[in-house]
Amino acid sequence: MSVEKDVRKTQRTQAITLIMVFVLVLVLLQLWLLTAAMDEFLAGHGGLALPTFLASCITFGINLWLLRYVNRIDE
Amino acid sequence: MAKHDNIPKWRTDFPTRWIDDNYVTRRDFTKFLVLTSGAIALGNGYFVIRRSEGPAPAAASPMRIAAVDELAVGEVKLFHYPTDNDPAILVRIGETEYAAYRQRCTHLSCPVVYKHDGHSLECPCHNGSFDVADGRVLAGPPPSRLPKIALKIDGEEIHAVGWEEEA
Repeated sequence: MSVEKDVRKTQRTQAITLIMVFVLVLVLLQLWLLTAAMDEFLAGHGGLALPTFLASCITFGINLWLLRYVNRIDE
Repeated sequence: MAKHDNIPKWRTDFPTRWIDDNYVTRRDFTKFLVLTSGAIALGNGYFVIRRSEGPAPAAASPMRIAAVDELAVGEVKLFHYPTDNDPAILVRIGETEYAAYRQRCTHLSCPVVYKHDGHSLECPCHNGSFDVADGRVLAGPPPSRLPKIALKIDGEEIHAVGWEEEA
């Protein structure tokens, strides 16, 4: 019984670590999108503003969904 | 975490020991990351809003910049055109020749300065260089020429009268 509990705890820890790394990668992707949009804006253009904003919002949505999963593991 | 199982949440949020205060769980770190993700998405939205405001109107009203004899050859005068938020630079490049440009580099909007010996306008941020005669890119990362302000010499006065079309 105790072994099963330990295995479950290890699995939970691994899942949270995996989610954390995935979220971190997505945040880095968002930073890159933000940099690209800022670069374009400061150069006097703005063609990338909307596509990068939409991509950033979608990424944020994925992160929120993953966070929900983290909270569910806690329960 | 097992060590927090019997402790109320407020005790784990505000622990007594410093070492516990600095301890951040992977769950909390992930929550902060998601918060950061939302902030970045909002920040990206700022550029969408600014873009929707549109560029400054191309047809600007004429504005007096300087008197003809105010600048010696090789001297510059800084002014704002067409609005107070648009820095511009006037250069006297010959006895009867003047040139005026938007003073923001087309790369990342750093202010350009006149380089007296090379007859060019230089951007000190990333070593961009523009021809002072027509604003074309001579060197560096700028992707396009410097916007040139059309000038009209009316008697003893120099006026800015809009933007020159790209050649």
